Amino acid sequence: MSFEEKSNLASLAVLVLIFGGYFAKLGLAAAEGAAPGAMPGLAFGPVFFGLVVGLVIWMIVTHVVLAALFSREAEAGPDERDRSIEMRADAEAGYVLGFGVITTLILLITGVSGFWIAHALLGSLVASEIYKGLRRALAYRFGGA
Amino acid sequence: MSFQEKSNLAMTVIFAVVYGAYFGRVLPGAVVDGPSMEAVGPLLFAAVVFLVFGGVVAHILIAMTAPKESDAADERDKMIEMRADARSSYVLGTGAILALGLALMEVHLFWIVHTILAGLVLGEISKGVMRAIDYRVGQTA
Repeated sequence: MSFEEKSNLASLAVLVLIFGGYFAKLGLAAAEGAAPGAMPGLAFGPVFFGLVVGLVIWMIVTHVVLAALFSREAEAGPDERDRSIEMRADAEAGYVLGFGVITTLILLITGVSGFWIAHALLGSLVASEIYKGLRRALAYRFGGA
Repeated sequence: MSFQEKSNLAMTVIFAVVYGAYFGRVLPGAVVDGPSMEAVGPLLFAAVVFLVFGGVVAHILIAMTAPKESDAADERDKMIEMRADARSSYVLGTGAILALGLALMEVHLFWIVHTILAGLVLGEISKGVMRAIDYRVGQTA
């Protein structure tokens, strides 16, 4: 398993844990009638900021640990196959993001609150990143670069 | 010049002209008189109609001039498209992040809609420009 593949799996796991946890919590709160839609979007600024800081810290920690454990592979850098796999995943993830953004535009026009608009955009960005990570992971294991 | 290259150039120009005219018409009014979604609804619809109509007419004309080329996308075309798709997704992502910030700041709906729209349009135009460069200059790393 190359360093790029390990790095991709670590990033994917961090992303799923942090944002999966957040969206699961949000979904439970909404299901219990906590009515987060009534809350102003700005109130969630610190929460969003905390999520991003948490994501960055975990990304740095996992990559430092990976680089320390597999220093020779990390120094080699990505090869042609790594770049090809990444480019295909980037291109396909762009369509996932585009679909999410257009869905958000439709939500905006139907008059949904700023809270849900912000979460639809965040969900689109996270979904496209998770798709990219999964696509890369599958391409490394089963081909399709 | 292949069918794919002509198609790309036509769509990039149509995107730039239609949405350049749309934003040129809508933004000054929103800045001077204040934003209003009701006022821009018909213009948004008209922009989509012009985009679709312009795209259909352009592709009919291109196909008429070289009917044999129209179905033939080769490996190079696919690679150029994938590379441009990958890079332009970052432009779209930047627009989405900006719109997310505006939604959190609870600015007027007009600005959020137009930031998202600008991200989509700039993403498409940058994709077209990158494909055009790759076709003419060769694939840049």
